[in-house]
Amino acid sequence: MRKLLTYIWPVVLLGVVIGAATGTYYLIQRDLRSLPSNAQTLPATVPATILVGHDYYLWIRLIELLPKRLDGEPWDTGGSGPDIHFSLIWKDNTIYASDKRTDTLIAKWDLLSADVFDLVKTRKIDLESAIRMPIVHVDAGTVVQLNISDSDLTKDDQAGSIEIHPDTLLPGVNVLTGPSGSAIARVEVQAIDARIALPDLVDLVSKR
Amino acid sequence: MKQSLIHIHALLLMAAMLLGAGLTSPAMTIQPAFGKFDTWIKLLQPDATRPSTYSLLEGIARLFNKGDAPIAILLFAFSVCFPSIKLALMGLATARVSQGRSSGLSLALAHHGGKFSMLDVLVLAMLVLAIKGLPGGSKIDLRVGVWLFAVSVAMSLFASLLLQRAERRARAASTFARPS
Repeated sequence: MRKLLTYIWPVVLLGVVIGAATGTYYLIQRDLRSLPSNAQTLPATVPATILVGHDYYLWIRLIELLPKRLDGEPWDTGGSGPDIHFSLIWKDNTIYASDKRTDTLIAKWDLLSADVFDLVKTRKIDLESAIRMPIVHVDAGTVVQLNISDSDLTKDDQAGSIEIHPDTLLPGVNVLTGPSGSAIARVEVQAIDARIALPDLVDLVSKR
Repeated sequence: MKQSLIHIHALLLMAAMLLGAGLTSPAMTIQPAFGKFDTWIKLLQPDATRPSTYSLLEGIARLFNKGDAPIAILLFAFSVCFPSIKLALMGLATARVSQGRSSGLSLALAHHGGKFSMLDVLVLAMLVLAIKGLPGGSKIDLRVGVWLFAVSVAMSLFASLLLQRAERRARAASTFARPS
């Protein structure tokens, strides 16, 4: 019995080491899992809310369309996916028309896009021209209309429209669902303060 | 004497808990930077600019997976095996002394083995110095795991000293108590 008691201590201590290591690992992993996977923190220089009376870049990050057109027909002949593109209308003016994303139901657009050939040729880039989203002045009740289409050889098929109210957007990524009667599944949109510093803008863009 | 041994047991238990927690807690965060090219690297290869955090065990596993098996095995031996075995040996020695027996070989082994337990902290310190000296502004921040590990090693060293003293006292007491 005495001999057994002697050997209990080393076993207990090793057990405590393994138990503490396992417990700490479990707690850390649980904390990591509880974080939202697409958590985005705004850079410190950007106000945490959308401020009325300020200019914002309106970034359409992602568009997802339903598998079929409004009339129930496939998007393209031959079964290929839609060629998605969109335009933004503000104060009755088309302020932005996007590039198209071919044969996909989910399309993404980057905020910054540089012409590499131009970059190599001139060794400089004008950041303002590299930002591929429009700038809008956010007032109470401002409405920006987002029109989404499938580009076709003959004529574009309308997927639908969404009215974006920039003054109601939250900081970070906002997910809007398509209105009934449209072929839009969801749209991810983000308003970015136009006064954002370049490093912060790059930080935001890199968190795709 | 009995109270002193209780303190040693408590110290060993705390050292064991801190060692376990220290091995799996975040130990360091590496924040890569590329100087004036930082913005472009962020745009072209954002993954390369994201800070990465490792615990001591994760760091060792990563070394192993990256093909640096000898260093990984060396670090595993000195930062995981040695401190754990040292604590077990000290627990054995404390149990023997509390039963009025000599600590025997276990305390001597623990005392000598303990000298190697700080190697991991030394390696981290050298890594910090090395990365702090890199151009581009890359930096490395030590996190709670390193401190837990270091405090655990220090506590076990302190427990070792206390145990040696307790054993000397017990030996002296038994010498005086022995009838001439």
